[in-house]
Amino acid sequence: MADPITADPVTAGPMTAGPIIVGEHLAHRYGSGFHLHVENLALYAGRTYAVYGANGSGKSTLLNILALLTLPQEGRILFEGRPVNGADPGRSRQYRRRVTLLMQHVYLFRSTVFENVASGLRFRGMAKKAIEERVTGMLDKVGLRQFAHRPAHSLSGGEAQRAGLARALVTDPDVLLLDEPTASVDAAHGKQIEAILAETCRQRRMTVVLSTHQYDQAYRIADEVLIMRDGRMLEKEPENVFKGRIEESADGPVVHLDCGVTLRSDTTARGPAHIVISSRDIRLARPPNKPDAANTLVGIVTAAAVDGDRIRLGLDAGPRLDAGPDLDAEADPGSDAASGPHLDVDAGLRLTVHVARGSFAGMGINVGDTVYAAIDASAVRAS
Amino acid sequence: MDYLYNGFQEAVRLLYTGESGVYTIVGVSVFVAVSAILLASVMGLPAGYLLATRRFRGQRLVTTVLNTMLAMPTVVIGLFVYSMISRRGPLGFMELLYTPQAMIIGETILALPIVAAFTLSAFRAVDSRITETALTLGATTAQTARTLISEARFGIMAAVVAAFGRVIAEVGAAMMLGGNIKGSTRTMTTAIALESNKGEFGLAIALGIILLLTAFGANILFHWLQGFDD
Repeated sequence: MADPITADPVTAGPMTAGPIIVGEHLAHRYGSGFHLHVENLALYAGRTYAVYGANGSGKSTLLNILALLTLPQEGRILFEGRPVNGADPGRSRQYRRRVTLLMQHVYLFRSTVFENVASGLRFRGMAKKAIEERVTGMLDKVGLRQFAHRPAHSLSGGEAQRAGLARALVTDPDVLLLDEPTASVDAAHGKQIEAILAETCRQRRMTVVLSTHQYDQAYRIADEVLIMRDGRMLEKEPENVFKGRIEESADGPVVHLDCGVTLRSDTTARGPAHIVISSRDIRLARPPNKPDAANTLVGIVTAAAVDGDRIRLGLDAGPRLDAGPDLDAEADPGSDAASGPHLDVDAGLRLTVHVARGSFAGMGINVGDTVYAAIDASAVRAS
Repeated sequence: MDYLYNGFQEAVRLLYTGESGVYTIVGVSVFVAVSAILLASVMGLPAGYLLATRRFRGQRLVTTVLNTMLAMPTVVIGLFVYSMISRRGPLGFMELLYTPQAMIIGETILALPIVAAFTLSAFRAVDSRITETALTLGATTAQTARTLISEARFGIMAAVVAAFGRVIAEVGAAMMLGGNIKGSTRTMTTAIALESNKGEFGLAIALGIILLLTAFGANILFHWLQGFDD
């Protein structure tokens, strides 16, 4: 039987070009009312992903589901194309021996640093000598060699985090999940951990998924940033993130974006914030069909690209000028109302909009067209 | 007050010479207590572990009963076992009454809830991340359990030590079930009770000193072990 640890990583690793892990329709609800819902998640081998989101956005829940510590109430996980049965201890162990998780607040066992780092290898029944060699090498790598025989509980927070990282890395996982790996350590230790990760990924093809609430970290480390909000995954890219401030008005909260556009929102946050407008929650309509929504902007389509089963559009949008010529009035029946070149769009907002392919085709939108962009108040949220 | 002073003198002499079978009595006490603790641990440690880690119907009831049994008077245990093993009792044919075995049965019943309840709280007290950490490192179910036991080891030892301290100092059940037969079932506690009644303070005080030291020792060990769980 091939040793899952010492097997050549190239042959042990995924042989297909498909994603190493797929999450399908993952849904999990807590008694507190929190609801995770991730429709489609595909993680490809050798890539580094950052799951970015505020506290309580569902990052930890998602990582726990991917580590099989939480069994989702709905949906399933595929590993290398095969469904993983998280309820079966044997199957989930096989999975966990290739997909490991480093918790935000790492727990070190009541033993020495060496024994802690060795524990994953011991669970796998590795020979003593090989364990000695690998653990020592790993401790060197994370700079804890001199602490090897100290009690793990004597380590500082940053050192403990590195010991936890070493304990995970020494098992040579195919997928490494890290829950806020640097959130509870100081900046210097954070940089060290990032460096260890980068170094490891250079040496070995490993998929890394780390959650973070630091925007800069997400972009510094990851090949791809997954944004989570209220238990849902937003776009892969940080689309439609704007600076602004949220204020109370007579009709509820309004968001004043720095670019000059004011939008209605139903967020409970107040004050300066990063505002995110979900690109899937923007509905487009060609004049004269005026959409009915809390916020209706007018925009010019600047780009269009195929993105999976959707079309991604770039939109230069601005407030609909109520004082100016009304688009409805422009719409002379029978004429091509949408392409009125004289229409003055006060464009300050660069929006990305995702439209289903089918409806895109139905609307017949082209680059340069003028469209209505309807944004529900619920789609305008504080980051 | 001379009798006390003389008693102390006599006690020191007895401890030094080992006369009056002092160390035989200590030996019986330790034998009975250690046997009872071993039996109680064999049953109580797994019970505490299961109660802490499994979810089942009636779990709260079992836990409540267990905690109530911590306060069970030892004479009631003595009475219960006595009624079972006396000649007229259902187990009378085994002729266990007034043997060390009878005492071990009684002390085991006394120790079992202590071991189980303290083990339960030891497992409850350990960090909830232990199981998850072991699982993420690829542990099997058995390896996860072993990790959990290893992490709770000080609390588990404390449970055993606490039960030992209670059993070695217990007199009610030991008297009722052992009968204080010299050389056979006479323990430190039953001997102290008898010798005091007889006015023979020397032996009583000598045994009292040993018993006190044993109980203190167990208690110090218990608190030292508990200290590891901070």
